[in-house]
Amino acid sequence: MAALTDAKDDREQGGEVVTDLVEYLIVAAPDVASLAPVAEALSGLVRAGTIHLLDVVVVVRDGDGAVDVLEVESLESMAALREVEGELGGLLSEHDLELAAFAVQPGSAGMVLVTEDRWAGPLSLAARHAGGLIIAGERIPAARVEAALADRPGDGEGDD
Amino acid sequence: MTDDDNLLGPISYLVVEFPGSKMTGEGFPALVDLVDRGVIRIIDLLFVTRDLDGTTRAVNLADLDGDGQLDLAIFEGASSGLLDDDDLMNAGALIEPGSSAGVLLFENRWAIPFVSALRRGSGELVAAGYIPIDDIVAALDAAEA
Repeated sequence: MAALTDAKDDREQGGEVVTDLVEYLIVAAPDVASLAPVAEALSGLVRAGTIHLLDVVVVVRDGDGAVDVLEVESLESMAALREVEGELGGLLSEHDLELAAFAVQPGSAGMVLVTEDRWAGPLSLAARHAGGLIIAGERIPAARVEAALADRPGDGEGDD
Repeated sequence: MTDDDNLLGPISYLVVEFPGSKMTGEGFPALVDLVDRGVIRIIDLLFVTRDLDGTTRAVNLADLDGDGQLDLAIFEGASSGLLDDDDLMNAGALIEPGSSAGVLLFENRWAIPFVSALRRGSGELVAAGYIPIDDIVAALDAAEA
């Protein structure tokens, strides 16, 4: 509990990570070059103050499934991210990256991100001032959203 | 107008617990601002309360403070039906007896440029999730060590 209390204190300070809403994202693409537009879009979101990037790593799987972990600094297609990547880094462990690589097909590339949702800061602060705390949250897979929208106004008989 | 206007942003939900059911409505101006600025779109906003005996039940927005002057009225229509009673009761089970929670289902409009870029690069978001606060604190401690 001490750690939780410390984190709460940290979050009151402007520049600190608002730990209520930190997300991981795994993006898969045919190859590293295909990740360039994503890097540019992320760069734009960071410059607009919408998100902070806490860690970014690129993984490449060869045809045999072997995983290579690449740093953003070494990749031309990631150039857009070099100026905006947060100073933290190191949040993703080797184990995290191994797990993430499973989501990337052999012969393709992936990008593993840890982002902080800066846009949600005011909401988070307001909830805390009211004594509230964000206790759970999840992204809902697009397929489930589409199925639920298709099922409306029934109560969702989609089986996944 | 761009093609981006037709894209759907990622959908997320958040559960905000209010210990002792003390909901002041303080968060609503922040929420309205996010909607006004096009950062998010609210799909559903529902409230659940957990009685001291552990029973969970849905709460009507209008019951929250009883003075009839609720800013919440503007959210009255924010109920698509995507979030159903089961979802609400599941959220209720997460909170302490005697507390209430708001469950917000929303579209991440801010992420549209990201979604658009994924399409341009034939990329795909294969996994995503919020990271529990304890894990973040532990990782930050480890990174600083």
